[in-house]
Amino acid sequence: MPELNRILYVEDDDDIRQVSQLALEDVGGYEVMLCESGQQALDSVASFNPDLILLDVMMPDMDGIETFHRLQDQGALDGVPVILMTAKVHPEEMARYREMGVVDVIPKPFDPMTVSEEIARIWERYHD
Amino acid sequence: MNSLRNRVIAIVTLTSLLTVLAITITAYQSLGEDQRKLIVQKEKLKTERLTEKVSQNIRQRVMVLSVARPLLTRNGQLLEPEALESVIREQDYLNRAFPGGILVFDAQDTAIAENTYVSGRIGTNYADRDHFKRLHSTGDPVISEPIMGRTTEVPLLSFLVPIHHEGRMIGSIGGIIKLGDESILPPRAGRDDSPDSTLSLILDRQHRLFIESPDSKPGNELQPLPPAGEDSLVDAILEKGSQTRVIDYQGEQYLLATDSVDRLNWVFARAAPYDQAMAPLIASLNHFLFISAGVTLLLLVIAWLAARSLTRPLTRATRTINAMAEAPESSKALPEKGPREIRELSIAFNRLSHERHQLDELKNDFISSVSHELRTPLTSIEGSLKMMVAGVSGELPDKALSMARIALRNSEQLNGLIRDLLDFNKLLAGKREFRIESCSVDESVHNAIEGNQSMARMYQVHLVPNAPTGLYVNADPQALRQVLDNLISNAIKHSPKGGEVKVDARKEAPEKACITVRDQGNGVPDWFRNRIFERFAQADGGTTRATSGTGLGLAISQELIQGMDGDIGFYNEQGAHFWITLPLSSLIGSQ
Repeated sequence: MPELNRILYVEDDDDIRQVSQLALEDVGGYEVMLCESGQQALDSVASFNPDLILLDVMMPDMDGIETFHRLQDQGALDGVPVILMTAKVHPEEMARYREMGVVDVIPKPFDPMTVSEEIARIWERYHD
Repeated sequence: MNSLRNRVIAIVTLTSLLTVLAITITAYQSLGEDQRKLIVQKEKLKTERLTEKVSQNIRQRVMVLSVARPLLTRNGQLLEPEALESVIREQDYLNRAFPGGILVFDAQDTAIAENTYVSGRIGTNYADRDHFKRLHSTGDPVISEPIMGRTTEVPLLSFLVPIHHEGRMIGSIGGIIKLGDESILPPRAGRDDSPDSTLSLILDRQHRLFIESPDSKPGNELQPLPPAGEDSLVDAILEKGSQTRVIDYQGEQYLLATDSVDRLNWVFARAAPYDQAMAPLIASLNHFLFISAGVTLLLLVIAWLAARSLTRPLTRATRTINAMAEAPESSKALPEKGPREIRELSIAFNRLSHERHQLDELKNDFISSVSHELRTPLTSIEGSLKMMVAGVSGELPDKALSMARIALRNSEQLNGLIRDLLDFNKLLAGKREFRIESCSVDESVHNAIEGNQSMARMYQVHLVPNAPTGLYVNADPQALRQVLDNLISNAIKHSPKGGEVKVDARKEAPEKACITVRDQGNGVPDWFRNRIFERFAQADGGTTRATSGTGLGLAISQELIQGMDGDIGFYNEQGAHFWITLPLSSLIGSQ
């Protein structure tokens, strides 16, 4: 199983982005690239070459779902699992996310002290 | 009467009944009158026909006598008496026409021959009799009034036909009808359709005598008519210019028809009992009533059907509206067809339903976007606090740490409130789907206890599970976990430090499992018992150790448990004991 190091994190809310950065870098020890919009993620995914992508769903202009599809179209998702982070976790929405090919969903609000462990677990399951 | 259907039935029925009644009355009056006239006319015609027969009868007898005349003369002279008698005896038709006897008189009206012997009759002169006088004065055949026979001494009618030779009367032939012995009414006259009740009589108007009467026959004497005013029937018959009419006779009503007999001053009368005469009328009216009743019955059926077809859409609408009230998601549109009022009601209802649906969606959208907007800042608040408290940003001074903990606890509570609100909204909207499967009670209880251990440690409470293995219930695992979490966290919050929360499970006869969560707290206060499952109900508000909840937990738990065909309740027994029951799974024993 390859090691999980580089995480691309897409989140429009500045505060959450900062908290998440702390959680992922200081608590989780990952190398994190922060993007504040879907467009930025599309632009920088190739140069950063992440192992895993965390994607917020509710974003202005381009939401997480569209970003996901466009990343897919760019071929940036080959072997790169995507985890959605959202407060919208209705059963029917969850089913739709999984159909799209999303690996898992972490519901908001998440616990910054445990979110890294959860990501690690999902990574392990993905490579099982 | 209070249902629309009954009212429609009542209106239609009443209207049709009145119509039928009006028609029946009209028919009774006009048809009845017409038919009555017809019956009267019929009686009159029948009477005239019978009168005609009587007249004919009399003419025939005169004819019979006339025909016999040539046999009685030779060379302008009457035959010798012996020869005359043999002739009149031999002529059968004479005897048949006049069973009372045939006589031959000479020109001086003295009887000279007879066909039946009556002592002293031959040689008797009758010139003083009125009808002989009339015979001489007119020279035509005459019929006497009812008279008493001079020698026979019985009431009789005498027919006289003159025998002429070269303009001179040489004698006459007479025929006698004894009124006591025979009737001049045609056989069965007046008895053709009414055997017993119709009265037939003949009166001699001029001499006020009965010729034929219903109740007494002239025997050996003439029967005079009673004086005026004594017999209403006779009075009515003798009334001049009288029409066919209804009279009272001996306490009964009769339909009386009269006619005059030719050549005689006689009246032929028929009196039929009114009821009997009118029987066909009654019968046809009965028939008519019968048909009316049938039509009314038919109208009732039609009214019922019409009312039903009118009210059925309303009943259907009521059902749909009730269904909408119970389960808004499953509401169907009403068919927009049928009578205008029903159609308009359907359209109005559909509009309301549509608006309600839109409002529902608006509300759901609102709640979900508000919750997102609330959660976004809370995510960073809570995340930051958690990391601060955990020391990610370095060791915090004690006071700062305790303040951070307070902030964290409250932000967690805010998050819990948002989660519960969303849950409850979903439950109330009926959007929560239950995925019922067979759940191991033992496993569910242990998982729930495991999940609440950190909280229990924080509150310094021991969690003690006591669930037997092999007990399975039909439940949605997530919902069951949510309920157990809620009950356990409530119990932890209400336990004293160092207390125990016991979670027991057992099979409860016959098809239920019961899980009980007991704490060692103060129990549920009496005043709060009835409200405990209400929304936002909390025994003591504020932020004390015991009550840092949202007040929605038990309300949600109740909805969840009831959604899984279970029940929830509590009792106090050295602490609060909350129990839930769920149906046992059929997989029991096979697992």
